[in-house]
Amino acid sequence: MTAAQATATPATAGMPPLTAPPLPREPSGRAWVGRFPTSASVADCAEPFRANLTAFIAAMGAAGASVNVAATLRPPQRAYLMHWCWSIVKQKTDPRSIPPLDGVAIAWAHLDGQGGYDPIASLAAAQEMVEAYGMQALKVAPALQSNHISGTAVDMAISWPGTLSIARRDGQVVHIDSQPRTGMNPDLKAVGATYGVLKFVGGASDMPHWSADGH
Amino acid sequence: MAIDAIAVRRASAAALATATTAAAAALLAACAAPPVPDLATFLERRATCDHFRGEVPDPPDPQRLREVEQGVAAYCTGTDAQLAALRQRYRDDPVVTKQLAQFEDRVEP
Repeated sequence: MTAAQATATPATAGMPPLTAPPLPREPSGRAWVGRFPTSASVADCAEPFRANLTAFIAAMGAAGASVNVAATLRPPQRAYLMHWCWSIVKQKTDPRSIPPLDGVAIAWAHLDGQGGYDPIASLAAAQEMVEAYGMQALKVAPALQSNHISGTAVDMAISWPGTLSIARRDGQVVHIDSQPRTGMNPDLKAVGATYGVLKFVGGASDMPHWSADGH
Repeated sequence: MAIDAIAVRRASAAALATATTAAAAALLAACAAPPVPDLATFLERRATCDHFRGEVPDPPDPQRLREVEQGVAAYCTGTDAQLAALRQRYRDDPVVTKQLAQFEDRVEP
């Protein structure tokens, strides 16, 4: 180091820092689990899927079908919390290595009384979250990306009595008297497709799921 | 001369034993390694797995959670190892490499 460098006064001396101080972070734990809940409102879907789904549900309702929406948007913050608490517990991910997410001021790494990293408390808090989410038996990491997280999917139970006379998007009325009288009906799937609401391509493995692309 | 013959026989026996051991080890390794799956089957299965990974419901919803766990068991189990094996097999194929790049390396415990 030269004498000039040693004696130079930083240009920012005495000035406030240019970057905002980090927000206080709340330690991980059970309290986080009730936040960022899944929505059951079609209004929380992303356009144009929202308009498409609204029109499809209206058509089913007008035809006399019963439609019960169980889930639409799963907030990315929720996905982040679920993914990383599971990963800490099941994959032994170091809580200090978890990337932050805007809008979620969570401290995955807990500190002990001396201000040092406390791995036992960190793991215990993540375990609390896994249990509160009901994910103890889940053998895979919850996804960080999905159609639900993007607001382009819905889980809904559909049923009707007798024959369902329902309008396609183009106004043509289709009379569905085939079985089953649920969302798994192939004729209803075809009607849904005219609205841009596609039944899950995986067959009966996920019966209530519809989305913008069939996934 | 008799001593040389015995030494040769001993050396041959040792070589045979070494070769047998190596062959057995290779056979065991082949049995232990998961078979490389069909690419198309894997792509569909892992996509369905990833679908179920995004379906974990808010608590308490035991029925939906059970459906998701069943889907995970059916479509996710073993796919981390299969993905690694396919990436190795197709490492010189840029098209398949790109297809496989969409998947996370590790989603299982």
